[in-house]
Amino acid sequence: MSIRIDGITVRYPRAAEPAVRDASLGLDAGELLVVAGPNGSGKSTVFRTILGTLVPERGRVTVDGRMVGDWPRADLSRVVSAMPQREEPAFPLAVHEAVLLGRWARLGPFAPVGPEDRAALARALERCNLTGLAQRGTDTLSGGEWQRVRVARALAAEPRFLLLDEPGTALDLAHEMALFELLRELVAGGIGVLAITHHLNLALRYADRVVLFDHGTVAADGAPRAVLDEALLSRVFGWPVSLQALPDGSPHLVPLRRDEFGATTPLPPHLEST
Amino acid sequence: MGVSVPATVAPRRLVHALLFAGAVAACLLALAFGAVDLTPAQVLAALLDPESPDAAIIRELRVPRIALGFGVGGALAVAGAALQAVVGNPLAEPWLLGISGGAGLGAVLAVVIGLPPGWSVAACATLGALAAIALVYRVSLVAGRRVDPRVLILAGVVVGAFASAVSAAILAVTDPFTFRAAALWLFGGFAGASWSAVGRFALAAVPALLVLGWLARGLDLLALGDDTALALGADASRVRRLAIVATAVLTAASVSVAGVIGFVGLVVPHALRWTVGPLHRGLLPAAFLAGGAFTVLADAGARTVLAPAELPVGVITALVGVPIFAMLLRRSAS
Repeated sequence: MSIRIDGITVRYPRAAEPAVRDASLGLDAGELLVVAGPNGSGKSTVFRTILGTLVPERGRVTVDGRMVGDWPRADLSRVVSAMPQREEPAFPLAVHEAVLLGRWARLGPFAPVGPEDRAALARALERCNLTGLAQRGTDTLSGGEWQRVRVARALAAEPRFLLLDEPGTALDLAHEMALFELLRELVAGGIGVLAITHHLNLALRYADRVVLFDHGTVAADGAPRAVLDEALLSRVFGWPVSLQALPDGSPHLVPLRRDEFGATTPLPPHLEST
Repeated sequence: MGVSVPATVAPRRLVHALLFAGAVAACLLALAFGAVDLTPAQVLAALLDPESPDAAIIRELRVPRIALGFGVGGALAVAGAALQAVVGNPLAEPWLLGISGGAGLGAVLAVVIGLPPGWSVAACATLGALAAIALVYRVSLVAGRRVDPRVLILAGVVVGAFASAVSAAILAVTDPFTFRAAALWLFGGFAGASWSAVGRFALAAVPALLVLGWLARGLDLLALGDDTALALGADASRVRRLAIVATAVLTAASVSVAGVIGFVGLVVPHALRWTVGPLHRGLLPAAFLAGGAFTVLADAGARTVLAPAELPVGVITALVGVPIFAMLLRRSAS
């Protein structure tokens, strides 16, 4: 089973330029794919076309060989569970209730919450280190705790594919590392994970594959060490980046300070006014 | 695993049981109140024995009136709860969103152009309600692609005020007899209650209530915003469309038998979220019971405070609802 994106071009209503142009990528079961790129380069747009929130004007998005638009919504969410970038809940819930919402699509309109659902809930809470917070109201959580609740909710659906749009946002160092360790664990269990992130060093250390977006197109797609290349990243992000070796020899990306790349060097054009 | 997740079902059932008991008590209490004072024994006798001296008052006036009041109040509270999820804002309500005003205008127009009372008035009220919510939605979309809930409320108040003004203008130029018939829809009340009105109301409201019950989990997800609702398996735009049509039908069914009654849909769901929580499988039935009981009691008050004259029941619900609305506004601003 896999998710395939073939040559999609996506344009927002009333936008002159497409947000994504002729982009292709795939996600297989049992792999951790990191999607990276500058702000506004099309990462979230691709995420939303997989969910069917946006319909591409050209190209196709298929899940298990079937066009996304042809899937009944509830069936699709059993296969693909997702955490969008932003969300403002209207009414506060208890954490365990909020996470259980990930089961609604499986349960349909009337089925009662059963032992399987409670087991999935308990597992999701435990995996996201939320068990102690189960009774808390979502309106009393810190930003990082709320982010973990949303990840747990996507996990509670027990999907085959998990899509996360900037899951590390608002997480402290330990919780972000714990999240990526969890993603590796899920991948080892056969789930396909697509994570959008700006943390390229985490991509280097955890991803099986990296897709780099630049101005709505795929600039590179491959193994992390191949894609996260000094010259390519410096060009795509418009800021000089140096690839350094950690003591164990593994690569680490360091964006350079201005005095490190020469004070006489002009700022990249898109940053000049800052 | 070793993690115990508390079941929330038991307390929810308990709240429903308590609300049910409270609703029954409110209805019994309301039976005893009215222009003619009756003792509980006389009420009981009338209920049990069709030949008893007060049987006519109880069976043909008070019982249908209470049944209608309960149904209308329950329907408005359920409609309010559903709209709040659709809009993602606890300030939404059929009256504040202009739906009631649109339904009222539809009913007034039907009466003034001389359509027969009953079904045709209800149909016109439904058309008015749907037109109003469509207009409110369009107006609030002007600001951008996404609906800003605050703009939506503003648009609702504006459209509601416009509908009321048109209704008032129409009434001003009609003959006194038509005026009396039509004015009922602008100042809500249950004076016209009858078993046939109960039947007409139920025929429209019951299917709409069932649709909202079927959508309950979709409403839970919709309240998280469209992207998240889609990500968790709810077809957001379909849930929203169905919920809006169902609430418009509930509002129109209510308005066509009892006129415009505000604030029930605002106050009741808000108070209940504190006790049963915001999940709609718990909230919607609770809102029906509490909204029904609240309205039956408000109507008992409307009948007795100035007896034998009657206050419009909308006056009572507004007197209770406006301070609570002001409190909510303050809280949502902070």
